[in-house]
Amino acid sequence: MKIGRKYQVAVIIALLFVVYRPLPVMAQEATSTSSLSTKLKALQAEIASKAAQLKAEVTKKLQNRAYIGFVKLKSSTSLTLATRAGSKIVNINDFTDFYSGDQKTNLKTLNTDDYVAALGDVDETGVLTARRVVKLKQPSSFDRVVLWGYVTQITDSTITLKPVNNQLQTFAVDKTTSYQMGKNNTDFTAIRQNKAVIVVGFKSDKINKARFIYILPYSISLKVKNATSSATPSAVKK
Amino acid sequence: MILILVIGLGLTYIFYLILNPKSADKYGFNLGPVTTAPVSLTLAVSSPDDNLLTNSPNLLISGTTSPNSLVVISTNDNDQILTASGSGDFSYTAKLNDGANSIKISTFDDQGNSKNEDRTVYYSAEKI
Repeated sequence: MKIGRKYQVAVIIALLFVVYRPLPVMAQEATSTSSLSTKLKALQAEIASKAAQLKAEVTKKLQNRAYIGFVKLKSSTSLTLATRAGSKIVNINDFTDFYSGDQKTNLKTLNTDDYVAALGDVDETGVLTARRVVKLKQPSSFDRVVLWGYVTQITDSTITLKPVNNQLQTFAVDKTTSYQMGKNNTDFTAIRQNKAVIVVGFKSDKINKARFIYILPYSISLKVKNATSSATPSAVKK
Repeated sequence: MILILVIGLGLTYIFYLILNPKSADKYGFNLGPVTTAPVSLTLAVSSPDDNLLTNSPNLLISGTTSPNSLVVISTNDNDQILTASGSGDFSYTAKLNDGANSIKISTFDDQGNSKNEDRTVYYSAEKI
């Protein structure tokens, strides 16, 4: 039997529709009540375990802490210290020991501006309850710096470097200054103008002092300028 | 008949394009992003905690920075240069002085940009 044209067109369109129509999503089977309850209990147990772990971690982080700084305020029950991280409160009580170096002492020997270490546990508000307060010798310099820069000037006892986005910095070097290039120790003679270096040193009012200089493998190609009244010094290696 | 076939094939092709979009146009250009943002220097020190009181003279200093960056670890008496791994991890065991120890951890990239973190650690051989 001859099939009509209209019928053929309808078949083709229907075939196209069947091929490219998105497939329906199959419905999931319902979970039984008992297995859902089991899963819920397991989840609760896991959450409780994780919470206990987290609590133990937080507790650990608060134990055995040291606040080190200068005494700003003193009372019979507390000290306020000025530390690197800001002002810290230290609670003291009858069980707090006081030491000056290795010598046992008492609260009366502590004065404002003494440099001390308060050792104990910290509570959730950041207050430390001290088991011991130790009076320390003040370090010679608090201002330790680690600087990266290009060497612009070298003299017998100083190097000047230009850090990124910073003013020129001059550091004194002496026989106690150590030098390293790559993995090898080296000496002052290895420093060259325009070389990149990392300096660990101490800042002071008079002159900075370099404790350690690491010489990097690369340099820059700066043109040497003659000494003028401007900030750029003449780069001369003696 | 042939016309119907051609129209049918054309419709098939259109449906194919709609359901299978290509990521490149006919010239082969990717239509997605062609550049990635520059990686900025990072530093995260995982150990030690700041203001730590410890009974061990050996202190693990570790953390993560940008891959292959230079890391400088400076303690009271010693300065150490490390190179972070390809994944940015670094780790060093420092010897502590009795009493207060001030530790500075610095990282640098090729351009001289730096990131710093400070830690204060008190070492006492006696358990307090």
